[in-house]
Amino acid sequence: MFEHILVAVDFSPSWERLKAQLDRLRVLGCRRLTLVHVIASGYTQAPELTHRDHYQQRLDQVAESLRERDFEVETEVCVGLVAAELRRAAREREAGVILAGSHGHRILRDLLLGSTVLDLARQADRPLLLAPTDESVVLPGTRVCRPLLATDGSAAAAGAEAAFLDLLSLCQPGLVVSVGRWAEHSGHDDEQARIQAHVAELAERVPAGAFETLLPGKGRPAEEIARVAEERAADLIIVGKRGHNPMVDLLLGNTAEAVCRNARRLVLLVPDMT
Amino acid sequence: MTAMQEDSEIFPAQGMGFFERYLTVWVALCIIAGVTLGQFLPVVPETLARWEYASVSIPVAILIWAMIYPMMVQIDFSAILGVRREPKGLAVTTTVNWLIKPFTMFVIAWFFLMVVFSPWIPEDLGREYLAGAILLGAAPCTAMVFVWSYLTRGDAAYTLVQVAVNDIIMLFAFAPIVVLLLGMSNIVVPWDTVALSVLLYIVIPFSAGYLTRVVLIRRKGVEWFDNVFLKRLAPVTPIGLLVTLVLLFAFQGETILNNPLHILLISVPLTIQTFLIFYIAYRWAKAWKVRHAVAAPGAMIGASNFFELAVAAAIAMFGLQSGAALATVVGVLVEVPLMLALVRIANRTRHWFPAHEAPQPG
Repeated sequence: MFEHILVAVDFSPSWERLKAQLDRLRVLGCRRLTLVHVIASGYTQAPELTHRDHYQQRLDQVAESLRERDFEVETEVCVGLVAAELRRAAREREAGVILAGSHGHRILRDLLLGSTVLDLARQADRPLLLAPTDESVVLPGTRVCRPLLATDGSAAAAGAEAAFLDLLSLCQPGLVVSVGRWAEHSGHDDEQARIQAHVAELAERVPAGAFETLLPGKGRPAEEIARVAEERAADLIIVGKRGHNPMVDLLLGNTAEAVCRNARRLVLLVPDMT
Repeated sequence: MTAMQEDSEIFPAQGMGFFERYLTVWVALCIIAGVTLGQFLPVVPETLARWEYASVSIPVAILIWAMIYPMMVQIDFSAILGVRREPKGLAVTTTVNWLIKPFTMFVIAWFFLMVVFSPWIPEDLGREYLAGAILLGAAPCTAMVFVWSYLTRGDAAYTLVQVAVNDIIMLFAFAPIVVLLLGMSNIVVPWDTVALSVLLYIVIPFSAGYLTRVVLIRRKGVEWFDNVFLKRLAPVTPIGLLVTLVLLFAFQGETILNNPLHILLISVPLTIQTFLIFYIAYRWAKAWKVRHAVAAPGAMIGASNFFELAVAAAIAMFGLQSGAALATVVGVLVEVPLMLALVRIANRTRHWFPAHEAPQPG
């Protein structure tokens, strides 16, 4: 999955922070990168076409420096709606994952302008890796290697679970987190038993001790996931999203969207491919 | 056929940003918010409307600059150097936009609003709606056309040339066309009022946008301009448009509550005009064997309107409470569904055009 990553390069001030993440991905098996810069075009966005050569040169410079670090690198400058063009480029170049920077998001701004990251997340037809680029976020300096799977045991989480189990062979022991309401309200015991059984099934598919399980019984899922990731030094949060069609795209899911909005760790959002 | 083409033809809305995709919904919400504000807190719009200087409402002027200036900052007028490339496409769109479109809009709107719908629309109000329709027809699209061009896999560079040429023509042609057609409708608008509107809402944003662009790129560089400044400026137009609409509907509350049917009636000539202009430009481009990537966005520019400018001009010339202002807002309301229908038509008739097109940028 991670062998070939398509990187969204926006040359904003936060791009340098995203670039700093690339070396950390090698441990996940990344060998090949496609760097894509999209000249945005849309409502009130006339494409800056005379700047095209400038961005191609800048991409070539970045590509050269990455080749010196043993990555195989291709580049592309294209024009259009950013999220749609990144999806197209990833599909045409058969990249396994799209990597994009994720700024802190404000709901009003996102509502008016949309958000490249949320558009990508809603319409993702392949895994999306989000790297927080806010200056206030201090990412772990080590290579990515301790994954956290957030699952509710539903079909929508199946892709995320498969990605997590695959990564365990490359990483330190992982974490499985499922947030429920069994400690908050009575009558949720069945839910707790169901998720315990589901996690036990996952555990049977990997060597013993490959991951530990935490089942917080109260709190908001996105906040609990972030808290556990912080406390247990997980550096990659893996979550699933619902299927891919225009109606479901609007409903990314509260937890997945909240994790994307507020992530202070790398987040891998995996669509339900069934 | 590329994957993106498949996407566009199946789910065009996925190739649109969030704001423009739901523009019709936002306008409908502004109608509700504005009418509610006007009914329950009329002091707010009345106070805002009272802040005037030289008969120009200062809050309204600020909102209108907020809509138009960010667009002008983003038009790269050096693109006009590409004007000699594929002159047939430019000839089609320029002729349709400036010599056909304003006049067909006038005839169609007059026929429906003054004749066919006369049992339901009083003559004076019908004349105000006609004035709004004339303002919509007098300027081709400047902002949304990049969305339509993208959805039809248009040539982005050529679309930019078309928009730059149209905006420069608009500096000189908008006022004479508006005065001529309003005069033919027996609507007297003094030249100085029209001239002031053009100065305030075309010349000043155009000049300020161009100067901002040149100075900032020279001083701060291309990357800062594209990726910092323009991103900060991006929310300004949508916010300006929505707040203007709320304010406008706060004044229009009585008209809408008394005549909700009028919104539907106004949309009829606007819809017919949209399809007619698209048909004329598109068939002409086909007859001249223009590339689809030029023909489709070219036809879209004329079919779609510079509704931000039309709203601004209607408010400046006729006031927030006018029927003209209401008619221009109906133009915003119907824009997205109509243009998405044209996108589908353009994508499904791609085979009408020469099969081997020049490589597309992007």
